[in-house]
Amino acid sequence: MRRWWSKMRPWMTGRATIDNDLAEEVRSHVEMETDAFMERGMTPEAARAAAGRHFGNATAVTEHAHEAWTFGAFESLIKDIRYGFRAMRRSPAFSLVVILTFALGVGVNTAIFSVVNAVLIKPLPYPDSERLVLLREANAKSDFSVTWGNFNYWRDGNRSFEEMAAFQGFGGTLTGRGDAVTTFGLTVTAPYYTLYGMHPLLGRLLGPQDDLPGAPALIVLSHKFWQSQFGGDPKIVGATLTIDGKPYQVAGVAAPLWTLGRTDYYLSLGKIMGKPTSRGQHRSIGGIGRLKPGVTLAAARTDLDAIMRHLAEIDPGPEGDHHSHAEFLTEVMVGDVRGTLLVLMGAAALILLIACANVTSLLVARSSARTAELALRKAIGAGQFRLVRQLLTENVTIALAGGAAGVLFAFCGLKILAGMAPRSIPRLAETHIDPAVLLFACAITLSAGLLAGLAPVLAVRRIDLSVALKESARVAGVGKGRQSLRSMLVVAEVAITLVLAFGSGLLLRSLAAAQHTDPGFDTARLLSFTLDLPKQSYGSREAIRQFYGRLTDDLRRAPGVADVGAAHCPPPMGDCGDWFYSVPERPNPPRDQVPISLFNMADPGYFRMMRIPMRQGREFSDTDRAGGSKLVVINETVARKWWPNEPAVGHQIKSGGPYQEGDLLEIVGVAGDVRQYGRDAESEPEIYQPSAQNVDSSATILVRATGDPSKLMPAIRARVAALDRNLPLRRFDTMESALGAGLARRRFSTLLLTLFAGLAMLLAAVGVYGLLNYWVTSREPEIAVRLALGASPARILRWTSFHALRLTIVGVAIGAVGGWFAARLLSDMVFGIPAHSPATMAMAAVAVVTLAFVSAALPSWRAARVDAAHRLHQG
Amino acid sequence: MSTVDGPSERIEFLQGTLEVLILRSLQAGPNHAYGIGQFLEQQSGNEFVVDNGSLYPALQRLLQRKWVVAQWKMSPNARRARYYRLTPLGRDQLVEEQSKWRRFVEAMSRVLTPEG
Repeated sequence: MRRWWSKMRPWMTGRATIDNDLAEEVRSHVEMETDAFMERGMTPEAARAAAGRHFGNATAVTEHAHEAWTFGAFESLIKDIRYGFRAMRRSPAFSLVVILTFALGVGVNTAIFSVVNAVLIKPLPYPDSERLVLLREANAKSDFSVTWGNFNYWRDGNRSFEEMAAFQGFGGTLTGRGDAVTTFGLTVTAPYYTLYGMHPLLGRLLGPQDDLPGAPALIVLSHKFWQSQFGGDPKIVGATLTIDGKPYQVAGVAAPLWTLGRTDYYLSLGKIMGKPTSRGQHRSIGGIGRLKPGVTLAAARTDLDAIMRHLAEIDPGPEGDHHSHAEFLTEVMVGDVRGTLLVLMGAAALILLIACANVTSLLVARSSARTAELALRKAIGAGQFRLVRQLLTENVTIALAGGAAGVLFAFCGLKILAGMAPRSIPRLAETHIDPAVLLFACAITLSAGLLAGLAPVLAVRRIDLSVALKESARVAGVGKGRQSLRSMLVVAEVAITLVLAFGSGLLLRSLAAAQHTDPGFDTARLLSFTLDLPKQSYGSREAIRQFYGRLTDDLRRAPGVADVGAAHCPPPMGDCGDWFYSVPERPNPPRDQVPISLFNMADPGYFRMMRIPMRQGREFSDTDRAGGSKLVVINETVARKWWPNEPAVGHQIKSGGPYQEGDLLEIVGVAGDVRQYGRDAESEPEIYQPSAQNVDSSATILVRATGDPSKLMPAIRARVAALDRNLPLRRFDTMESALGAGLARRRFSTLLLTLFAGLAMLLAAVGVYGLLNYWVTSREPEIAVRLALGASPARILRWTSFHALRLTIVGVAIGAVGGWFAARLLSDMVFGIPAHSPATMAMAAVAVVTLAFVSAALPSWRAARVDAAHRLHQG
Repeated sequence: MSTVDGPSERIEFLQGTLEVLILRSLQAGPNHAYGIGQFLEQQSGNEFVVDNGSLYPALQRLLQRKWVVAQWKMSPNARRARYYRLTPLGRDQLVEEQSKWRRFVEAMSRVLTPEG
């Protein structure tokens, strides 16, 4: 404490006393030494000089002695920072450019990092979420649901999991409480609640006793559903809800829980499934488990696979070649956005590099101008280390100011980003600036500041006092080394800019390609909506078929409607169910290589209405009845796989493949491929069954309008309501907007990368301008001499432009190589063009060279207008 | 930044030794910085280089620890000089350091001298 106070005191009482004492002490020391030299017979002048020499650097001595009294390093840091601020104020334009450049670099990185942090880094909001694993079955070709039988063996036999639960999607119509609503629930086994860390807000959650067959039918409401559907009714517990005609008693309301999809309520899966019977019945059940601490995913897989192998021996059958499939929940949720976000993060890092290059270049230019000042300070006793530290502190101070502005940028940028981000990126909406993000911003600011500040500082160490003090500041700065450093920086900036321009060019062209792909059908004036007929009112196949028949007839007669069709799963709905199939006339494939296709259902008007061309045969007609022989239309992809050189019509395929039960289906037609997953997806194998032979309570109705399709929406609602007032219309949208929504993520990443490329271009333009401007300034005397010797201004213009061009070409060459490698990282996001597209590279290169030329124009023009006479007189 | 352009074979101070030597030089009586420097160079037979860049900070550290106090006085040749004087605390410290150094030197020479 005393030691500490003795250090603090000079701060309180002023350091003046100590400094005065020290200064006087040094003076008296030198005088005494002078006396001593005079005693040895020197003249007073010689003695004084000798004593001064002998004493050494008085400033340094007092400085060091003083530091004993203070938090030396700390105090001089404060001094350096204060000096840094003073330097900033002295050249506000320079400081502003540097701060803005840093702010741009740090801002972009902070914004993107906060997204990466929210989406990829932060653990999911469940207890020990990093140990949560999704469990499925798989064979050699793909992974699929786990059967109730196998799940129970896994749960009871494994040694790797603390807990394991099964879940299954559940859709149903809630009736008896106002309008009918389509709801989406989950049927789960009891451990599901603990795995997700759920708590009851009202009542209770379900436990193991509720999972037994014969237990009362209970329902747990999600917080959101309770709020939206029941207005947060506090007396809901105990009430009875009717879903698909069945009563469920409300057991409780769950506390708010973050989920990726919509979950309205939870039902007991164990009660519905009962005792496991056959191992082979797949019912779209998924498993979730929490690994015991220290157990790896691979070990857990091996554990479950051993169970499967044992089961294959004692209970052989279609499940015999299946093994377990386990993936971390986090990976399943964010795995597919990781690539996009990392590419954006990489692009942001490149922008920071350009920003650093620009700032370095500026700082080098300025420290050249400050050589004289620095040389003077060195001469009057500032130590090498002290000078270096002071310059570094100055640079880092200005970087920190830029970083602070950058965080502000990021804050505003995030608001915009969250607004335009596609909802398919999980947790993006929760992005905000938190301590981790601030720490990141600090870290990159400091490293950027040090990186940018280092080069000019290293130059200080080489200052030659005798030269620097004699020459004028400007001349001293024009070292060949510095010019070449700045030239290298510009080359690097041009190269990085080209990489970004190339990348954004690839994405822009991919987006354009995706927007202009032929989806395989005519999207014009098309509307679609999905209906789910509740089982209690539409119990029989006949009732369902009648309803859809009446609805399509009604709609067809409505004014403004050109045509109507229905399908189970039209594009871009993607995968609504795939299944094994085989071609009986070909040899049976091995068990793990049975082909899989999407199975869809289409009504007799579907292909005509969608304007999907029939390549062979015919489409379904009204005469394809339930009792007749089973028919299918396959798409071109399937036809090409099995019958590339002959008509497919007349051949047969078997649903379910050789090892599962299924009907023999006769091919009556081959339809053109459609992009089932959206505009930027490739076509998949697809098999259509006639609606009359494969009745499904859920169907999507498509309506082609004669005019603006959105104007038809109220009339369509009215027609559906006229048939059944209790039917909610889902996914009611125009086809154009549904297809556009599928491109949301592509549009998002393209927009951001293009924005980044734009920023890079802006920074590179400033960099080229700055370098050439400085180059011209330092060569003014030379230019003046050339002009005086008869060079025309046009020639000077060519000379300076050539200088800029040379650097740009080198940068473009390096950037082209870099871009070629970077294209590999982008290949997943590129669509419709090759990732290594020379045309795109050429366009990017032209853009960058043009940019460099434009930014070089002003300095070149200035060079051509140097007043030779004036400059030569001056020089 | 050496103060002396003398022969390079003269001995540099070991870390921390300068402070003991200053305390020792003040045992003879109060002295000023210049005097302390002179004393140490002479006593060491001109083996020690006294660098003012080390001497002054060392004096400040001794002041801080209250092992010495400083006072402005007139020197014999009528110069105003800042005289450092040992405090009782400094005297104790010197005794302690001296015994520590003796043990150190003995140990060093035992190690360095080859056994007969």
